Amino acid sequence: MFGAGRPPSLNEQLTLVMKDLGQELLPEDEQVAAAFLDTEEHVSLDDLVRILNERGTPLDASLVARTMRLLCDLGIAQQVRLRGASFFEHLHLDYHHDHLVCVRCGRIIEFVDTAIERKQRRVCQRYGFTPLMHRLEIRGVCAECAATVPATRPLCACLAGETVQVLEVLGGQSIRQRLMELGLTRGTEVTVLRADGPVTLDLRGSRLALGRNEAAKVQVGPTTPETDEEDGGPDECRHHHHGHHHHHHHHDHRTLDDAEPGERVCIVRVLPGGGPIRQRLLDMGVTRGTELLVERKAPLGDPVEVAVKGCHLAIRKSEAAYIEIE
Amino acid sequence: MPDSPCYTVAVAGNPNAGKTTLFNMLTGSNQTVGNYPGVTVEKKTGSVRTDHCRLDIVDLPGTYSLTAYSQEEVVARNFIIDDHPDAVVNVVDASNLERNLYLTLQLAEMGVPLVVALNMHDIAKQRGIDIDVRALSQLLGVPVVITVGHRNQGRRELLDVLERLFTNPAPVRALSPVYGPELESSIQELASLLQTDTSLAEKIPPRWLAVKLLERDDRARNRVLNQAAAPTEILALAERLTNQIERRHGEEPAVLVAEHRYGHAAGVVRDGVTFHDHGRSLTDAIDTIVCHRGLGFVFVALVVFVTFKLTFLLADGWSWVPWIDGWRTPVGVCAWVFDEWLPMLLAGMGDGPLKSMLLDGVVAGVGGVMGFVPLIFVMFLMLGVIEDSGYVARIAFVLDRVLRAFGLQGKSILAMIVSGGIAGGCAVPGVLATRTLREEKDRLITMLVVPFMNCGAKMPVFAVLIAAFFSRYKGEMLWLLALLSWVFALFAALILRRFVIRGEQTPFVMELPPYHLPTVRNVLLISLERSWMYLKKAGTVILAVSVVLWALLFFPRQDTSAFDSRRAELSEQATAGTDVTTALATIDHEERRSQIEYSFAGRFGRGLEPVSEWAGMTWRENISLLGGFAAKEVIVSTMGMAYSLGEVSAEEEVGDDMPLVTALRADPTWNSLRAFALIVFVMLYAPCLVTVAAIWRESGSWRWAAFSVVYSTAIAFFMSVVVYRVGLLAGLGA
Repeated sequence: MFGAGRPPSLNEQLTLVMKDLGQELLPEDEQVAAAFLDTEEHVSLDDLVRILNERGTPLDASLVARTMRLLCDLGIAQQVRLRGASFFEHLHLDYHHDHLVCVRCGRIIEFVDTAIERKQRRVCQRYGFTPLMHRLEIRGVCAECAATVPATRPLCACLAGETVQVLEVLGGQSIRQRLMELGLTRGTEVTVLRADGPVTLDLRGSRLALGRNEAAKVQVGPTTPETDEEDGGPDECRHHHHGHHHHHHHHDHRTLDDAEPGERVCIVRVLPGGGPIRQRLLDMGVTRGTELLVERKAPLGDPVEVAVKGCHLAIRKSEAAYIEIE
Repeated sequence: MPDSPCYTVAVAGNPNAGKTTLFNMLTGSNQTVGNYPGVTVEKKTGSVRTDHCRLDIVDLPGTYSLTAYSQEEVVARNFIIDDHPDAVVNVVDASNLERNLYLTLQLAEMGVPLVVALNMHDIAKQRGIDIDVRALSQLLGVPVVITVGHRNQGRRELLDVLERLFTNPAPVRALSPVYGPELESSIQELASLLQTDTSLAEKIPPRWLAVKLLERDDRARNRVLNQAAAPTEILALAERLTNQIERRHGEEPAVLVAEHRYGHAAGVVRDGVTFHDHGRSLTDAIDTIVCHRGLGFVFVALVVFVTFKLTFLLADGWSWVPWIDGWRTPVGVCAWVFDEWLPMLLAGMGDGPLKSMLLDGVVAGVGGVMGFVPLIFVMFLMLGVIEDSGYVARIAFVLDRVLRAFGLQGKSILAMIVSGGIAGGCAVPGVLATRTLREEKDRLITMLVVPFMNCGAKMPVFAVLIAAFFSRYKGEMLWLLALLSWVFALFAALILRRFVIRGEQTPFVMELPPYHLPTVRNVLLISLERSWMYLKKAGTVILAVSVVLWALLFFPRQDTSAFDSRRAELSEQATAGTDVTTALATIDHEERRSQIEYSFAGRFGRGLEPVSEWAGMTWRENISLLGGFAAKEVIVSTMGMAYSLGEVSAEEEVGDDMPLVTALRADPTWNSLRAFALIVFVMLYAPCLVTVAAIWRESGSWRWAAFSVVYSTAIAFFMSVVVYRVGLLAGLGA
C-alpha cells in the first residue's frame, strides 16, 4: 500500500495528519509517539513502556496501547506478529502478509497462494532482490460480514482499512466542487485509514482528512475487481495534502433557529449544553452530516418544522439554537 | 390444546409506525389494558392461538430509541431485559425506514430473537419506495415480514415466522453496528470485563451494557450498581474510557454511537431500498395549508368547531335527516329507557323505601349517566379520528408557541384534548396522557389543569342547563364553554408556573407523522374501550354513589303526622264535594320538600347555603355538587333526584329528553344567569375522585392530589361568584 517513497519523516506526517483532522494529540500521545518514532526496530508494548520509563515519562500500559492503536489507525505504525508476540513497526517499511483480515469482525483467514508466491519471487528476481521475509495481508470484509453490511453507504459509514470506490458525491454545488478538487471524483478508489470522528483517507497515495459532514456526502461502494494482471512496477511517490482545515470554522456556523423555510442545510453538530435534548435529537436522526430541510415555521414563527431522514420534526427555536448548520 | 406451549411476544416500534394497528390485527378484540408495574405507562396485552402454541402478546410503548430519555423507553427496555420475551416483533414503518431501523438496530443489539414487521408497505409503495425484503432480511440478519395492519395482510405470515422461531430456535446472533475502531476497542475492553461477572452477563448482554455505559446511561449505571459483583471497578473503567473517547473526539460517545447507528441504518436503506419518485407527498401538500402561518389557527379552530357540531348532530340532532322524522335519536332512546320504560316496569311495586331506592336512586342515577353514552361514544369516535389521522401533532405544532406562553408545551395539548379539550373526553386518561411529557414540572402543571377541561361527565350537566336555558344556542354555547375551559386551564397553568411550580421548560422535539386515513377498526376499538371505561365507572362508582346519596336524601325520615292530619282534613272536605286534587298535590309537594330538607343531605346543603348563595346556588345544587365530587355524572342524577323528590314534576312533555330540563325551566327561581354561574362552577371545581386518584398516582404524592382539589374548588367558587354578582349588577338575573 505504502511503498518505499521518500515522504516527510513520520514524525512530521503525524503532526500534519492530526492537524488535518483538527484533533488534539494529547501530551501522553506525543510522548508515546516520540518514543516509538525514535526507535528503528520492532518494539513491543512492554518495550515502549520500558523506553518511556527510561525517558523519565512513565505511562500506563493501557494508555500506551491506546496511542499505538491510534498510530496504527493513522497509518504511521503497523502491528506485526513475530515469533508469536506482538510488535509495532514503522509503516514505511515494506511488508507482505498472507492473511485475509476482516475489518469488521477481525477474523483472520490464512491462505497460501502459490501463484502469488511465484509472482512475488519473480518481482524480487527482476530487481535482483534477495527476499528475506514477506507478508501479505488483504484487509477486507469476510463473506459473513458482507452479508449483513450494506455495500453502498456514505464514506463516513466505512471502517478503517476498507478500500472502496467513490460512486457519487451528493450535496450542493460548492461542496461537490470542493470534494472534486480534492480528488474525490467518481470511480476513485480510496482506502479509509481512520474512520471514527473525521475520516482519514488514502487517496491515490496521499493522506486526506475529511470532516464527517463531507464524508457523509460521499457515497461509496465496493471496488470493481480487477481482471487483468497488473505487473507490479515501483510504487508511486506519495504526495501530501496539507491545508484542508475544515474543522477550524466552528464559530462561524449558524444555528438552525436562524434558518428560513425552504433552506436546505447540513448539520455540523449538535452543541452540548442542551441537556436531555441532545439525546432526543440524536435519537430522532439529527446527527452530524445529515441534510436537513427547513419546511416551515408555525404560525407564530416557532416551533420550526424540519424534514430530516425522511421524517418531519417540530423543534422549538430555543432547541434549534443548539443545532449548528452550514 | 390445553397443554400447548405458551410464548411471550413483545411488540415494539416507533410511535406512528402502526404498532397499535398491528397489535389489534394480531389479537383482535382479545386484549386487556393494564399498567406496567411500578410505573404508569399503559400496558396492553392480548393473546392469540395458533395451531401449535399460544402467544401472549405484549404491546410495548412506542419509542424512537431505547435510551433512558422517557419513561416509555425505560419501560420498553426493562421489559426486554427483565421479562425475557421469547421474541420481539419490531413494527417498522416501511415508508420511513431509516429512522425506524435505528430502533431495530438497538433491539438487535439487545440480543433478543427479533422479527421485523414491515408495516404500511402499501403506503411505501404508493410513495415510490421499493423495498427488497430479502436483501433487508439478510442485511439485518432477522426475518422480515410484510404487513399491512389495517388490511389484515401478513398476519398469517408473521405468526408462521414466529412459530418457526419457537419450534426450531436458531442461536440469536446479536447484530450490532460496528462503532469504529476507537469505540470498538473501548466497548470490547468494557464488555470483556462485564463478561467476567457471570451473574450479570447472564441477565444483561455485556456488549449492549458496555455501549450503554459508554453512552453514560444513568439507568444502565444503576443496574451495574445494583446487580454487579464489583460495580466500582466496572464504572471506573467505563468512566475512564468515556473520558478518553470524549477528549480525543471532542464529542461524547453517545453522539458517536448514535451516528454510527444511523450510518448503519442509512447503509441498509441504500442497499435494500430503491426510491422511484420524489414527488411532493400528500402530507406535505396538506401541511402547507394546515400549518400555514395564517391559516393554521383558523384550521385548528375549525376542526374543533366541526367536531362539536358533528358530535351533537350524529348523537342527538337528527332533525336534519328528513326521512327519519319522528324517530328517536340514540340519546332519545336511552333517555326513554331510563325515564319511561324502567319506571313503568317498577310502577307495579308497592310503595316503600325499596321502590324509592330503585326508582330515585338506581334508575335515576345510572340512567342519567347511560343517557349520554351515545353522545360520549360519538365524541370518542371523533377524537379517535383526529388522533389516528395525525392531526393532533399539527395542533401541537401550531399551538406550541401559544401554550408555552402559559407555561405548558405543545404536547400538553394531547392531555388537554383527551381530557375534553375537543369534545367530551375524560380527565382520567388525560392525566394519564401527561406521561408523554418528559419534564416532571410540565407534567405536573398539565396534570393540574386538565381537570378544567370539559370532560364527558360534565357534558350532561351542561347539556341539561343548556337545554333548559340556552336551547336556541346549543352549538354556540358548547363552543363558548370549550373556549372558556381552555382559557381557565391556560391561565391556571400560567399562575401555577409563575407561583407554584417554577422552573425551566422542557425541550420540545416532536414528530409530525404523515397523515393517513384513520382505520375504522382502530377508531372503533378505541371508542368502544373508552366508552366502556365510562360505562364501567357509571355501573360501579356512580351506582354506589347514587345509592349512598339517595340514602342521604331519604334518611332520616321526618315525622309525617302533620301532613297526614292535613290530608285527613282534606279528605273530609272531599267527601263534602270540594275538588281537593290541587290541594292534595300541594301537600305532597310540601311533604317531599320538607323531607329532603330534613334529610342528612338537605341539612348539609342548607348549612352551605349562606356561602353558596354568593354564586346563586341553593342547597339542591350544593347536594348535587357534593355528589359530583365522587363523579361528575352524579351531578345531573342528584339534581334530578333533588328536584323530582322535592317538586312534583310536570307531566312529561313529548319530545323532551329530560324531565329535569322541564323542571328547571318551570322553576321561577331559575334563570340563565344562575345556570351560567353553575356551569362555570361545575367546569372548574374539584376533579372527580377517580381523577384525584389518578393525579395522586401520577404525581407520586397525595399532596398534589389534595392541592388539586383545594385550588380548583377555590378558583371555581371565585369565578362563579364573579359571574353571578357581575351578572346581577348588569341586570341579567331578572
